[in-house]
Amino acid sequence: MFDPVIHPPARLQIMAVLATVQDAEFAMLRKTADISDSVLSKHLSALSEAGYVRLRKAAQDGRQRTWASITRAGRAAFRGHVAALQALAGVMGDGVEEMGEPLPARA
Amino acid sequence: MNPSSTDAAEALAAMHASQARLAAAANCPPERHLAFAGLLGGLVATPALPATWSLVAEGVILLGIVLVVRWDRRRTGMFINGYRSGRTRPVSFAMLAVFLVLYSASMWLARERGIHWAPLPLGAVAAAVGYYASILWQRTFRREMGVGA
Repeated sequence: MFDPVIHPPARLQIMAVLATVQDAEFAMLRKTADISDSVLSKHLSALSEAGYVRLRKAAQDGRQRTWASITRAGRAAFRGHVAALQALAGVMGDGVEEMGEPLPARA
Repeated sequence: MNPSSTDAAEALAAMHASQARLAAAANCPPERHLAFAGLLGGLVATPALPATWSLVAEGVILLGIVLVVRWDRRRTGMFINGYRSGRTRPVSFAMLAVFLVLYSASMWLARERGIHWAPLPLGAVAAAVGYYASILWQRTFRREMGVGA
């Protein structure tokens, strides 16, 4: 099902990464989503408020770092949203795996 | 309002680009594959030791697993569960099955048959399997994320 919370491209990218990893640190998410600190903060807050992402602080090398992980509700919403996008884009045979992550589109 | 098919295709393309960057960031150096192989081989070899020392060695190896997880987090800023769902899962379960067979054989030969040196070659085999499986897992992951192995 199409999900307006996940739809902005940066949020979809963040969710795609979090659906793959157990958890990821803020700087790593910024790098993989290719966005600025402030934009990432804003999107993470929105995803957290929707209950799709869990945030926690942890000390590393004497600094507080933010780690994010996807929630069960977030994973379900992400799968549904990607399936809806794939249907819209006419990507055949690349549905969401039963237990796994969305498969990359094939040319 | 739902996006157009073009918007949807662009969103999916952007998502795949981020997954490709993730795969690149998650790439393991050779020493990470070696560490995993060493832990697996060590675990299979522990029955070569007397029972008490075997338990101590297993404790040290479990500590090693914790340290490898911490190393991954510090090096990459993330942790990917080896048993995550997706195309890598069959690789993980196949490796687990081989490990269980080797560990059981190691225990049986050392404890039941009294062949105390047998766990050592079995540990070497487990280390080789672990090294190969670690590389295979990474290649499979990279392919799943849409990048070349």
